[in-house]
Amino acid sequence: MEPVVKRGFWGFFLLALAGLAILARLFQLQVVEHEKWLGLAQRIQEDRVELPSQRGTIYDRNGAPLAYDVPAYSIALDNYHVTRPELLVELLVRELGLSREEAKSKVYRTGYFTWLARNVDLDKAKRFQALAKAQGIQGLLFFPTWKRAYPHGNLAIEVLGLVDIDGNGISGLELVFDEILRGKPKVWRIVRAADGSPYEVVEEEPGAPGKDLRLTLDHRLQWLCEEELEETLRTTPADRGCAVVLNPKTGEVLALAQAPRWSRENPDVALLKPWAVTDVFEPGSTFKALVALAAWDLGLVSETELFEASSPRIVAGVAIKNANNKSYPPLNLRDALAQSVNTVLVQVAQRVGAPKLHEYLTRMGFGRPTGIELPGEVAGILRPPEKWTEVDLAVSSFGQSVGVTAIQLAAAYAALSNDGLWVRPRLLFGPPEARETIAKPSSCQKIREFLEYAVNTGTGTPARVPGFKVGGKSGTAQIALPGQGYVPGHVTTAMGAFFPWDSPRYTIVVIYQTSKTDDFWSGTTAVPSVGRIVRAMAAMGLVYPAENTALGRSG
Amino acid sequence: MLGLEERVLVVAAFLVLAGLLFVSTASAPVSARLYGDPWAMLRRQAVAVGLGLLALLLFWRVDYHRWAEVDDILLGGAWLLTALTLVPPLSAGARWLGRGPLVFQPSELGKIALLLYLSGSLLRREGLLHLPKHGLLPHLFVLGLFAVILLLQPDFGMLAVYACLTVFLLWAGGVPARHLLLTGLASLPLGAVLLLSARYRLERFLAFLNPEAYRHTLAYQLYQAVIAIGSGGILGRGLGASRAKLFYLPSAHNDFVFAVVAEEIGFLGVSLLMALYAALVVFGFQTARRAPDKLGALYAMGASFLLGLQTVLNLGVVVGVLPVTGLTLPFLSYGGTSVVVSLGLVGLILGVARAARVSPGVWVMPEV
Repeated sequence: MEPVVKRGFWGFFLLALAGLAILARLFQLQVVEHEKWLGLAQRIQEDRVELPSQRGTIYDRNGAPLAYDVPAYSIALDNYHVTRPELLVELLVRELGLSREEAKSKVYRTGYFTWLARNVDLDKAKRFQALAKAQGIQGLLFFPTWKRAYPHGNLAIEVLGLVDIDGNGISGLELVFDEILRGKPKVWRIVRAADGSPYEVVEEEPGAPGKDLRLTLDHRLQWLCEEELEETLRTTPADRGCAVVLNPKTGEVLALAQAPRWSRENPDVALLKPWAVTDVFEPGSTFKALVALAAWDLGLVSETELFEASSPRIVAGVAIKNANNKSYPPLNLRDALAQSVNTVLVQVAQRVGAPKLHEYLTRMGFGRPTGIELPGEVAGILRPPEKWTEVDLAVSSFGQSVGVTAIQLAAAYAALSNDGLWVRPRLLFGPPEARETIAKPSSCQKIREFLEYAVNTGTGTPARVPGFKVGGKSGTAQIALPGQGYVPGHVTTAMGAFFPWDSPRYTIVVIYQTSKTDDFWSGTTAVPSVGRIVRAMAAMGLVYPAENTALGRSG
Repeated sequence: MLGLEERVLVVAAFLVLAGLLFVSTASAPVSARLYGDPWAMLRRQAVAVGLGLLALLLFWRVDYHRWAEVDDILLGGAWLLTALTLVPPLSAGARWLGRGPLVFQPSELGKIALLLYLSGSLLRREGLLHLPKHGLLPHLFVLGLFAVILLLQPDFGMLAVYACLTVFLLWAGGVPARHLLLTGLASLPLGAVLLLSARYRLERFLAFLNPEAYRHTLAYQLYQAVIAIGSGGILGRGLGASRAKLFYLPSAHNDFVFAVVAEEIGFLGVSLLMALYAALVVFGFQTARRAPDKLGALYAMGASFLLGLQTVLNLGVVVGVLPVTGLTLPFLSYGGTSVVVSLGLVGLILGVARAARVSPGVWVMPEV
């Protein structure tokens, strides 16, 4: 071979080495480190924009919408490409109601993206857009979005819950069923050129609208319960109240109301807590009906047996008195319930005994959550029977030493109404979920008969509504504060009721609490509230009288 | 088996087509921005390819011995044109010459002129090359003449190409190795001085050594190139799908076009592309082996070495193993002069191959 070529070969040999080195480097970059560089490229070159899909509508049981999404716009600014910023500031102040300082700080800053206003109503946004265009303002970005609308204002808002500015459920059912309601957002991938201009817009996910929820609430019943509670708060020293109306056969919650109400004018988030499921109180004399049910079911008492009720009962050295230390002649169980006589029910509880009473109360749903679909439900307080003292057993007969929630009390009264079958209270439609049998049907019927008597002739008379056969048991209890015991001026009043008593279709529990006075009685708060709710239901045409009411002939 | 000429032609044709393809995708955004038409640069490149084919035909069909007769005139002309880039009214940016659509880069033409001249001169001084006066010095002087202009332009990358070509040809032509080594050693301090003399060159060098630290400033281009290459992966984003060309990567259509190519066709694609370049160089070397005489061997080797060298230097820069210099990638970079000269070099190889076919040299070894 010509020496020229032989020598020249070494030059090519070096080129080949260099070529292999480059190939190795390419292998390193493109195969070994590919993920790293691709990620970096995406961070530099791509934006992902998520457009929320329409959130599901929440309907009441009759199909009336309670919360639904309406289209809106969110308006942002690309500060690098804004033109006529001074006009934009004016426009923001005039059209979108921003303060001048706020508008200026948003317009005169550096960045590609500044939110100017979120979830602006459609007509307002369109007007703003047209005005901005007419004034030659550029750099505005309009994102179609959704805004939650509430046709009934804050009706049932504690149950429905709120959504935040990004459309996430943050309380109530909106939080619990957020996944279902929100659907899937539409995702756009935007490839940008180095100057920020969009080059390619790819729909990465089409998104899907959220699914609707149909609640068991009846918005009319909900409304009248809320009105009743607010009215009572206005006219009595009550600090707060709550009401639960159940269909005892299905567990459907027809109304779950509370007061005072959260509203746009009074946006205290503490008011959004549905305290009927989150707060515990001592149920007071409403518990007497349940203790009597246990005793009757066990066959420990009869209709005719008379109980001594003239003097306080001494239990383990503690004197347990009647309300106002009143003295009664010997009473049967029916009259003792009607007059709410502590000393009689103490004897009944003692007969049942701690283990059996605990067993009955557990079956009635106390000491564990009911499983209603609201966030933050608590179990209440029902201590194991071996920890009960003699006194605990005695006072539990009138609802002391136990802690319950309003929904637990309502569920227990619903089971009593449902001939002993305990059904999970529910806010969403579905087949009834029975959990326990708390007592024999005949026992339940007998106790309901006693409670109808209590409403007709005893402490429950303010709840009487002629023709509707209301039965129920009221209670007034002092409130024990943590570490302080029973504190004067802190009182809970309660009423557990149902109608018509022989085959109840509605179970109602109403609770009020005050921290202002000891002169606070169920007979002037919870009991008349139940009566007014039943009357309002009748007036609204939700219910019809179970029996004819003879007004008699006049003249 | 195809003949040598056919093989060279096929490989060159693939490279030219790949070049047009990638100029069309890589230049579309910048072309749209500069000319309001994404295909404007492609059209210009196509015209340059046409001119390049004429150059290819010229070198292919004209007996290459003719070039040895005029190589001093060609060299002088090329030097003069290169020197004219320093005259403000004539120059169009530091490295270019001309007006309107007729802007070209004389230092590209100088590559061919230098190759022809050095090869011819080495033959003319055969037997005397062991004497520095005849071997090393006159050719070093020629390199020096160009070096002065290239440093003033400044175009350090092109100077590196010229220097490597000169060393390669002198070494192959028979200049003693120790002369070249001594020259190399002597030029080391000179190189250091050059590096330090221009601030931008030093900064580029520092950025090359530590690209992470300079990724928003001096190493920005390199960093973007590496992102583009790496994000291509094994199969690439697909033709036309480069992101880097959306003005993230400066010079995405010319000096750094390979990064766009790597992003679009991935590791498999660029491996194939590099195989094409390698094939062109190998066929050029085979041509040199079969050349009828020493002049043909030097021409074919010089031409293929030059193509391979510039490819390696450009890729080295783009993948970040060499400091940034403004060198085009033969056939693929947008740029008229580059493609004309690259095709001219292919033509020169073809010319030698044609001669080898017509009158095989006496010393040709039978192919194994």
